Amino acid sequence: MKLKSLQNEIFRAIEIDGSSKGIQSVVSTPTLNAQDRLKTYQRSAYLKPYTCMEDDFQVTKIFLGDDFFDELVKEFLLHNPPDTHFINECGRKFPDFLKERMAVPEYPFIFDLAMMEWLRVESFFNFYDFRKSSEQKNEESEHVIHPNPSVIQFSSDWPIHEIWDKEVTRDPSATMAFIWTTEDRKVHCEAWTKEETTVLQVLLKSRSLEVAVAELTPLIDSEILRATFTNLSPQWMGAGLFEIKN
Amino acid sequence: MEVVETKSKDRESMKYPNLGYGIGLRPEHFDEILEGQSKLDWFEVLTENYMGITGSGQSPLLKKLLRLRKDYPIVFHCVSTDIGSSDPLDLKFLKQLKELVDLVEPAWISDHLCWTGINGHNTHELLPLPYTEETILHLSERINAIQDFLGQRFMIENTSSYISYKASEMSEWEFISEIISRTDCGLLLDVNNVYVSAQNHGFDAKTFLNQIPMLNVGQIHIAGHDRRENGLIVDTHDAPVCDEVYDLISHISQEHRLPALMAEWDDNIPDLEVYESQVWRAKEIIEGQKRHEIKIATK
Repeated sequence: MKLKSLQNEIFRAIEIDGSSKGIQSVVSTPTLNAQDRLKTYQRSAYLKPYTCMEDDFQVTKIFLGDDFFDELVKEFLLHNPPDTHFINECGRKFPDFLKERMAVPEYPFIFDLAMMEWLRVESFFNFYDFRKSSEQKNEESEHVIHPNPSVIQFSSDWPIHEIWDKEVTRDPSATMAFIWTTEDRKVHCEAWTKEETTVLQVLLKSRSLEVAVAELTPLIDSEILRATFTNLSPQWMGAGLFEIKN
Repeated sequence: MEVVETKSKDRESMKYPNLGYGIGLRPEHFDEILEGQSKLDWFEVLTENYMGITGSGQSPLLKKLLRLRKDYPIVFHCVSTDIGSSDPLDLKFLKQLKELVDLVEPAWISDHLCWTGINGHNTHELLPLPYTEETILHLSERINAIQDFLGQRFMIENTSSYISYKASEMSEWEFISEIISRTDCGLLLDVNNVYVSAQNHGFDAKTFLNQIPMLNVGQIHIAGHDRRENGLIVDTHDAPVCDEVYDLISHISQEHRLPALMAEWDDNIPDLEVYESQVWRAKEIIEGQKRHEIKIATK
């Protein structure tokens, strides 16, 4: 049997719904037949992405319940088998799958919840992008901004209640939520007002402080802008959202 | 001194520097090691964990790795090069790997002699290959292409396996030796994998070890495994290294100077002291063997 045919046969046998019945290429021994040997791979090939998704969608799993979550993940992986080298990426399409599947009509927010959990994963792996860092080395500006690339604005209609309630209590005028990671591997989520959000968004995308100020001046009242820079910028920098280097 | 001369032949011709003793670095131990609480000489990292989500970036772990790199040699261990697949080589993956190699400058790069997927799908399993001339040709071309792309010798690791193929025309050690002779690639000799496969397929582990080209062995792995109810031994890396694997280390060290050696532990990860103790036991065996030989030589 040629290598490609053999690999196709083995792949079909160890897929989630695969069967090793009638498999031609694998040796059976007196103590263990080919089917039982292949099951070791089949089980492991399912458990690896399952374990990742169980970690990544912990709150979603609580809402769905253990059995239903297992059933949905199995169905999801059947139609979306891992296709990249990075196993943590396997749950990327799970929120969309839940939305399309209309999995739990009584929990209309389940898509948003799963998406929030996915963004948490993505923000963790966004934290330190050496490609972006090396690009910024050649900047000649006086005050270069180094944004934390993990910062993601969360714009779901249904933010996780716990975080949102806490943040809105802190500041009732908060309208936008951000999620980001810091070096201690913690994931943070906070909400800001519309003006604060604009300032923060511009700072995160600007290459230098001078460029950010030039863009913000026509958009924000000068008093509010000054107050935001004076009061909030140090806090934001302290929270690891970005650095400003002279 | 006589002993040193006997084995120095190996050392002079060995194709990799001997880094000493190390472990597979796990995130749980990063901070302790950065604080200087380890006496190990070097660390191996699972490369894909530092490559991040495609198009997004890397985790905070990469920043810590770069700090660690200032004080220790690092080697890269991959699981997704997919050397044995019938699919074309994943150039996007190799490009990302090269970027990370240029950033971290590892002492060397390794991956498993296996296939992990086909038709664009990745099982994340280290699936065994049939030991045939067709596979040797396929692998040799791909390893040479990888070595050309990375601009350095690539290291392949023997995997543990739970199946064998009717199509195989030779033993695993003959298969590996032939690939090495055609590519001059390195060999990461996983002694636990030799033991596991020997038990699962009924061959003699020492025969395997006696037949492989030791001069190309740049690194040795030891690890723990799990014995299942159906009789298979599965390479789980979730337990201490067993006595039989240490016996095999002793067996190799009687004939050869051993290269860089390390333990792997991936699940039920213990504290750093227990993890390191797996390596210190191997070191005792190797050093004991050296002392024994010097004693004999001086008599």
